[in-house]
Amino acid sequence: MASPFPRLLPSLPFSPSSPPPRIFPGKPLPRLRAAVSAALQWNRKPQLAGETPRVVVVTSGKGGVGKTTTTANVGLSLARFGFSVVAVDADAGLRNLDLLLGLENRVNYTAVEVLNGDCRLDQALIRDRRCPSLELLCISKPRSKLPLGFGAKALTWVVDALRSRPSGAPHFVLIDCPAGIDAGFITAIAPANEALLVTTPDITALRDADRVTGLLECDGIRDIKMVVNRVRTDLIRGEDMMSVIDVQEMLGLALLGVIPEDSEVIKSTNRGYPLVLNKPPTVAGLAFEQAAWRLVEQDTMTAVMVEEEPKKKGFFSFFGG
Amino acid sequence: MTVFATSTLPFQSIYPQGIFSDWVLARGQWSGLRMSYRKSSRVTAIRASAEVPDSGVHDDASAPAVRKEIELEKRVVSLREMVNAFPPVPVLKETSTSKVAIGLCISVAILAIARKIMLKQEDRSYQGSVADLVRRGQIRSDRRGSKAFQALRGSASTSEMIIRDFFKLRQSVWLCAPCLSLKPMKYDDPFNNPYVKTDKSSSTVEMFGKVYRLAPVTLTAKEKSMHQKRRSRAYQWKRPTIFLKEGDSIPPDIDPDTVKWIPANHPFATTVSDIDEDLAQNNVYQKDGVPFRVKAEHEAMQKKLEALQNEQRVNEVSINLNSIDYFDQPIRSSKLQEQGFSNPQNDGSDSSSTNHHKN
Repeated sequence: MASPFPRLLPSLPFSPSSPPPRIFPGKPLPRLRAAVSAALQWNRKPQLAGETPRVVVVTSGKGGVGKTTTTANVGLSLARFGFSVVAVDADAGLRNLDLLLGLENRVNYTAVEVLNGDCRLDQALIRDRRCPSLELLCISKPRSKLPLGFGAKALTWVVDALRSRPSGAPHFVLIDCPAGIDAGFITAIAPANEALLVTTPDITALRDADRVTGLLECDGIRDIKMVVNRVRTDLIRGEDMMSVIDVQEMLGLALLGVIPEDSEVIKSTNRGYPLVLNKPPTVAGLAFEQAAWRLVEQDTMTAVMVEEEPKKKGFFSFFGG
Repeated sequence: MTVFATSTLPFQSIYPQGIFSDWVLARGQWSGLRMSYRKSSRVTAIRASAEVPDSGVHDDASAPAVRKEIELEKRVVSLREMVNAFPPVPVLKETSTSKVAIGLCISVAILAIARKIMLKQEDRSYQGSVADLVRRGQIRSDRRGSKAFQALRGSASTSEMIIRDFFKLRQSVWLCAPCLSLKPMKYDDPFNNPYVKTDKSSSTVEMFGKVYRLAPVTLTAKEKSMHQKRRSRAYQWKRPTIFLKEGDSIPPDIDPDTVKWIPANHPFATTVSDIDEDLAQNNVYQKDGVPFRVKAEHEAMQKKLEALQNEQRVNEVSINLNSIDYFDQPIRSSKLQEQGFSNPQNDGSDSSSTNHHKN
């Protein structure tokens, strides 16, 4: 886990990973350290690891497991952390990342128009007004056609152009991969260095996820992390659903996040307002933020939350005991 | 506080005193009438009592006129007594405190009523997030299958609709608040905030009222590499580099595993060779300036415009030239006649003259 001390204050006399200085030799100051960390806690930011731009493809194989929701929420979380993010909807035929982000009325140009010379790349990028460091790029409109086999090259050029743009390369490029392992999948994984595999704890999704993982490894993508979505802890407790540990044992992938089932997901989709922006935060929103944090620091989960039976209240519980 | 101006004249009220005073108080309080004191009745009564003539003294000369006057005055007096028989209207002296009190009472009443309506509307106007889909234009409200929703919209009164719109506006403002605010959005640490309480001693986490136990992950590096080997044996895949349609032959030096066959009925089975890849790449890497196609279209339109303009000029010139021939001919013929030459058309020398002109 990353150090709790942020790197936003370089004037601190101590480095973030080293213990605080001792004013009185031989006598550490735990209270001072706790006070400082408490004061700085609200402004804590994750520490970026790896080379930028980090090109991450969000894929699953099976449709409907939550790839687009994960892309939207993780992307917005990263933008809120202060990183510049470009989210690419690589589904040429069925575009819906703009719907989740509430930007569907602002999509005028797509990557196809950029390729055809109707606009420049910066004109096709849609900046989210809620969080200006997040930009959206759609591959194509439903009516236009991107030739098979050309999409992979085009997306690679797009990512390369983003890397060398005058305003600076983005920190993250999140590619929302379409379902399946057809041309759209091949297009989406072409420029990626890392993969975020989204799955649900059911056997059909796990089988497809395993196959997709195999294809990703064949294509040279080795850094693959897993997000288990739509987890019902009550069903897991009643052994009606596979646990996250079982899923990990089946796939053998590092765990980036566990997203519990939340009805707010549907509401946020209807509103076009991603879950992570809700205040107060929801369970799934917090889980997405935690997953985004781990993605930034290239960290993984070391423990999983298992729901326990609620504590039985005693006779004097209403007195506060 | 109302102050009643009392009349100097004694009068007999037709109502019992208590009721009369309550009634007047009530009238004064609710209607806020400005009650005037009738001075004329006092003056007239005094005049009437003072000017009643003695019945025993008579002037023989003006008796009928005096009698008429007396009768008129009696009538006037009787009429005024009838008017005075009505309960007097007391005068209210308004103060600023009464205005404040009245205003306060009215505002409190309005607030209470509005709050009641708002509370009712809050339950009814929150129609769920599907209403946001209607707002975004993704679905049409008249095509929704929910009859309850339609009934609610149809039965809403004007005031309820205004309050509902107010709630929607408030919600939309709240949703847009982050974009309206100039300060960056403050976020809470997802690992350490009031909603997530970690107890390291018992390895439990309390989130949103539920208690979870932390179970450590059991995946080791060895198991991870084992899975990778399993997958590498199970899935053999190479990225396709050539896309061929059904019926096309495979080039000789191409690995068959890298060939992707496109079915004829594939929705995106467009030909690959239609696109100029170099041009497309340049378009993607363009940083500034006018995009290629827009520039090309602009240049094409400019050329077309120039061509049209040139064509117009040519047409104008040709028209002018034609007009010169037409007008020149009769002048020349008249000149020739003056000089004694015959009509070229009659002599057959027209062709020579025209040839000379053309030359």
